[in-house]
This record gives sequence, C-alpha cells and structure tokens, in this order.
Amino acid sequence: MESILDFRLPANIYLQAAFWAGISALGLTLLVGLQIIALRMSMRRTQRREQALTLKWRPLLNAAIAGEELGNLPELPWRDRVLFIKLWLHLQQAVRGEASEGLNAIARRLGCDEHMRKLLVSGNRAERLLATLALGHMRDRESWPALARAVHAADSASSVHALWALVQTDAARAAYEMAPLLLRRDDWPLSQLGNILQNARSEWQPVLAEALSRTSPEELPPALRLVAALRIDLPQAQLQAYLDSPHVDVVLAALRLARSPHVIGQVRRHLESTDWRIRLQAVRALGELGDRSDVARLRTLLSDPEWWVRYRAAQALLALPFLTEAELAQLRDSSDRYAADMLTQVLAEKEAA
Amino acid sequence: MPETSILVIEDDEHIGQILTFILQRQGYQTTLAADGLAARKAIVSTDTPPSLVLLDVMLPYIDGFELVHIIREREAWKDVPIVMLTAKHTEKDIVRALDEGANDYVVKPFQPNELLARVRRHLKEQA
Repeated sequence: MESILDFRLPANIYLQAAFWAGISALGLTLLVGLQIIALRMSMRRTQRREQALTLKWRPLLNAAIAGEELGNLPELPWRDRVLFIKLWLHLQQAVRGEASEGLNAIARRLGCDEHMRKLLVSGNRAERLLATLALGHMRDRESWPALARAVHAADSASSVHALWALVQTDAARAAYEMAPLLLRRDDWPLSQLGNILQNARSEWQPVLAEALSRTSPEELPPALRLVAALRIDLPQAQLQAYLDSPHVDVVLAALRLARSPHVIGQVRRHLESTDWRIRLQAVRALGELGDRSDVARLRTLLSDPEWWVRYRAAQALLALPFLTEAELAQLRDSSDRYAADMLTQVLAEKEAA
Repeated sequence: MPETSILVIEDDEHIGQILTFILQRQGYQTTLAADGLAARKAIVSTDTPPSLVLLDVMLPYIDGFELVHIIREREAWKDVPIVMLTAKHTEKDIVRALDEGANDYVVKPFQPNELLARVRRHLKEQA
C-alpha cells in the first residue's frame, strides 16, 4: 500500500510546473487568510481599546463641556492619544464657546497639544490632518509657523484645513498673511471657504479688498468671483471702479458684488450693454436692488433677443417685493407673447418650488 | 411635584450623551431615542408626553421635520414644546422646522448654556 511518503513528483516538466503553481497558490491563499485574520484581530483590539477609552474618558469630557472643575485626571497612555483626540474632536465639533474651552483645557492638561504639534510636523497625512484639526480647535499659537507652511501645500484638503486652523487661532493675522494666497487658490472648495470665513468676515473684508487692488488684471476676474461667492462686500469706490472697468470679465464679476443701492446707477447703465452676459448679470443685480422705477426697465428686457436675459428679467420682476399680483397680471397681459410666456413659466417654477 | 422629563432624539451617540449629561445635571429626567423609528415608537406608545422634546433634524429612517408632524398630530402631545437641534442652519430649514410646529431651534455646534436657557424658557412658559 502506498503512503504519502512514497509520493514522487511527476517526471513531466509541465506537470511539475502545474504542481508547484498549485502549491504556490495554496500558500498565497493561506497567507492572505492569515493576513485577514490578523487584520480582523487588530481591528477588534482597536475597537475594544476605543470602547474602553470612551467609557473612561467620555464622562470626564462631558463634565468639562458642562463647565465642571476636574481634579486629578487618569493617565492617558501614549498609544491611546490618537484615539483620545478622535473622540475629543468629535465632541469639539458638537459644541462651541465655553464648552469648547473646557475641552481644550483637558487636552492641554494631558499634553495632547505637544503631541499634536509633533504629529503636525512628522506624522503621516492622516495624522497631520488630525493634528491640524486638533490644533485649530485649541487655537494653538505655537504651531502657527507649521500651519502657515501647511496652507501653502499642494494638497487641497490639508491646506484648506490648515487655513481653517489659522483663522480659528487668529482671524486678523490669518487674513493679513493668507488673503493673497486665498485669491489665487482655485482648488479650495467654496463652501468650505464660506464656512471658514463665516465668523471672520470683519477681519478678512479690508484685507481681501487690499489684496484685490494688488491683483494682476488676469487674476482679477476669478478673484472677484471668489469674493462675490464668499459674500464679502468691497468698499464702494473700489466696486464702482470695477463696474466701470473696460474689461468685460471684470465687469461681469463686479456685477455679482453689486449688492448696495450706491451702485444702482451703474447697474442700470449696464442693462444697455451690447454684451448679453453683462445685461444678464445687471438684471440679476437689479432683482435684488431695484425699486418701482425699475419695473419698466425689466419689462423691456422681457423682450430681449437673448433667452437667458428674458428669463432672468422675469425672475427679477417676480422677486420684487412690492409688485402686487394685480400689477403682475397686468404686466403679463400687456406684454408681447414671448414676454408673457416667460413670466408664466417663471411663475409656474416659483409655485412648484 | 413630578419630575420634569425631556425626550432627547439624537442619532449621534456622543452628542446624545452630552445632551443627556447636561440635562440630567440640571435635574431633568431624560429619555434618549437614537433614531427616527425609536422616536416615533416613544411618541405613539404613550399619551403621557414629556415636558419637552429636544429633536435633531437629521435622523435615520424618519427625519426631524416628520417627527414634529407626528408629535403635533397627537392630541396629548400637541402642546409639548419642541426645540430643534440641527447642524443645518440654513434659513430654509429653520423656517421649515418652525412652520411644522417646532417652538424653537438651536444650531450645532451649540453652547450648552444657551441650550439650557432655551429649555428653561420653554418649560417655564408651559408651566
């Protein structure tokens, strides 16, 4: 009877190759299986550590949020620091004011500020991002130079978060140092910039206006569009100069910033522009600024050769708060067919919204 | 005097714990519902409403606006003050919450002292 010890490799070279390929595949499958088991075990260990850390620290962090004086704190092992900061950040994002300060105090007592500064400089990308968020919440002035360097990084996510951290730390200084860069970075998401500057508009407004005045003519239109999207107002004289610019792109961008009655004269003049894009933006602006005298102007534009201008004119008319339903009906009845159709369409869209 | 009870409806575990902690610290009795279904169950299963409902807008299964509607449809619950807690601080959401029947709103990230002041005010008005 043959035993497994009597097994011999086949003499045929192709069969030998197939045999060893099978053995290698089996070995690799086993290795992958072991790797999966190791990863699962590591994940379970991390989850258990996270649960234990949450059970231990959440009551203390909640007490800090509630403004309670905390006595001696338990020791925070080095390996648990990142997990702790993740929990701490989650809570930081839920509260503000004194509660946020309470969380900062506990993090500093545990030496997390120092640890985050080290991670900001020498951690991997995820650790640097975590450190940026943590140091921003802590408003850590010591990490200003490292954060300022991070703002200039090519990585959009890291750099925009570093900008957020600087604004949190010192909004005026961040505006002074970063305004020219902000006007050039077209990769930063507008919604995120809007959130970052939400509570720092007064610090950023004059600095951005100054930075705009030093911007090259090529960079001016996108920079103006950015300022308009962030809903930051410009000084009247500066805006008027842009509205009078000979460059179409500058005028188009400046019309997006026309939110003050002081520039209504210029906006009305642009209704007669030969460029339909300028007429379009002027109509949109007039929808926000216009008075009773503008009804006739907008009505004329309901018959504009360009469809989009007619559409915007109808939207602007319907947005005028003083126009009664009777006046609107009269406007529809007395207009030409295309204008009446446009008014009916925009009214239907408004009702459906 | 019966204890003042507050139904907290919040799907984020950590935020739910913060709210429970700061409310209990003020002596309020709290019940936490962690999603829309649990909240609806807590609302429809009893005719004895809490003194106040603290309600997150973004919830799994049934959102906060729908829960306000469910609360206001129930006779026993129609006068319970509802304070909405929401990360969505757009005017549209706030208007919608108030239109649906909420009494007040607090925007996340919130200040615990401001939240407690609003809770106290609504409980006082109800008393």
